[in-house]
Amino acid sequence: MIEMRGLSRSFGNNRVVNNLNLNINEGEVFGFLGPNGAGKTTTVRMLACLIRPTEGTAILDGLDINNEKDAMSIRREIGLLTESPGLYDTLSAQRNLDFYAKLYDVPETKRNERIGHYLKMMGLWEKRDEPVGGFSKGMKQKMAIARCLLHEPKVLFLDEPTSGLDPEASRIVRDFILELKGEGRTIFLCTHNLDEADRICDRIGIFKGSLLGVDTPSRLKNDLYGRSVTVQLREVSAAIVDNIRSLPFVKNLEVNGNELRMNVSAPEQDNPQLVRSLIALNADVQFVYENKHSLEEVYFKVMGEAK
Amino acid sequence: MTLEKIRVVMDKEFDEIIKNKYILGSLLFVPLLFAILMPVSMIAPSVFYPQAYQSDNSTFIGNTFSSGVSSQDSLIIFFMDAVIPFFMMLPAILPTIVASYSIIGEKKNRTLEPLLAAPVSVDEILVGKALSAIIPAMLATWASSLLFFAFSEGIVYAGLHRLIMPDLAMWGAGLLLLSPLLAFLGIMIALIISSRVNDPRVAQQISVIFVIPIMAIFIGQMSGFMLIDMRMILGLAVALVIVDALMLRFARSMFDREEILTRWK
Repeated sequence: MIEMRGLSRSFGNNRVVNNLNLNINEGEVFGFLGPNGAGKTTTVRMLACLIRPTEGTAILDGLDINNEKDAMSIRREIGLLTESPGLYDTLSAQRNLDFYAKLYDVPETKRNERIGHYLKMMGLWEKRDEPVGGFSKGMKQKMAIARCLLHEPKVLFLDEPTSGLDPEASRIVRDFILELKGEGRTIFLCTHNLDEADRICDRIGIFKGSLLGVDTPSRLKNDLYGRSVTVQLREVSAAIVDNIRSLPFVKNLEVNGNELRMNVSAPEQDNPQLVRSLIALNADVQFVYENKHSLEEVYFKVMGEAK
Repeated sequence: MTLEKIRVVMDKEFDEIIKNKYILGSLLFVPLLFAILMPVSMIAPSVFYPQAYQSDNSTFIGNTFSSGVSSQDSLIIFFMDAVIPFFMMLPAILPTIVASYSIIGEKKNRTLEPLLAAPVSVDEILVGKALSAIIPAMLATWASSLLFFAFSEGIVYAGLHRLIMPDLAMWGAGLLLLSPLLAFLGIMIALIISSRVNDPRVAQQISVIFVIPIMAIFIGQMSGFMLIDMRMILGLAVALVIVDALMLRFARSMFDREEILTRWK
């Protein structure tokens, strides 16, 4: 759906986005992670045809972002949720959406129906006639999300969609993103919220000027940390440690109190053998569990290596 | 560029103007003030106390009046025509107020990025915003001028029991030719200044500099240095067409998606 080829952007001598090569598949939720100033917003602005790349290009649903004629078609096909909601404070919720529905050429017969649908979905129907200047940050964010969906775009660029939202509103937005994914929309999600990215993204790109890593969250974790298990015993002896270390599938065995932590290549196959060996050594096995690494650990490790 | 998109932008701007008490107040109060003050301060004395001017031979007005070329009528006509620059200030000032609020408002509320991401060209946005500032300003100017005529003729009739008409051709040229050109120039100046400042009042204060030449014409006329006539109005119109074209080119270069998102402060 989106194909970035050597996409680069400089501001003066500062190269903010450097040679970005990335493909986003149709119907995928792609998480674009990176610190402030990493160039995420610049990338989105290039893809949304708001600013031009210095080098390279991107093809969005067959349309070239560098082609002026294609740019208007791209704007019609995408929905952009900007960092700040960007609403007209003196106008009502309904009038804000009506303005954008008209700009996006939503047919007159469907305009009111769609505005009503999204206002109800976001829980703002009762406040449709109130000026949005009096809305809370969360309500404004919901309004902005509704605005970028009015024309039912194929591709959505969401820049920090849950930023500033309370946990309940964040959850509504997250569930909504998954709902949109279910409808087959492609979602490019810029976020600082690693837990959110882990939960809803099919793939993650870790970005700081250039792409540092890209894969599914689980593969990123496994590639960086491998798969590991922890076995908790009632008591750990030197004999048990020596015997377990000698097993061919056990690597990097660490002892921490009455816990043995080790890397195994395939826990599904190796764990039964491990447990049998421990029982044969008269070890009292209390717990066996796979160690889970968070996306946050992956993120900081990748960022640390980049430094 | 489509008229439909321009109309959508304009409608939104009008909705915002109606909700902004300061803009609405300026569009109503200033023209009304001009329409009342000018007849009261300039026409009424020439109707009821023309001798006040006869005693002053050192001024252009005095010379004209005492030369015997004309009578009280010519004094009244002179004042009716002398206020043309005042009514030219309205299309120069009012769009500046509307446009500066519109553009700085978009900057402050950070509404420009979603707007620029929509399938609407920058020209459609620019024209929509310009027209939404020019149309109310022109309507206010014309309404103010009509009120001025009504009040002035009312005063003339009350004092002399007849009507005295100003130079209608000159007024027509001023209202239909100079006014739109001045309004357009005001918009362009407001746009350029608004891209660099973040307070509409600062933008308006800077834009007011552009009123100084108009005031200079009024003062020049009142002090006898120059006389507003048709040739002068047409000459000014030609000059304004050239200045407007140059300003449009400059403003258009600033009103570019990339320029707005990366350089506007």
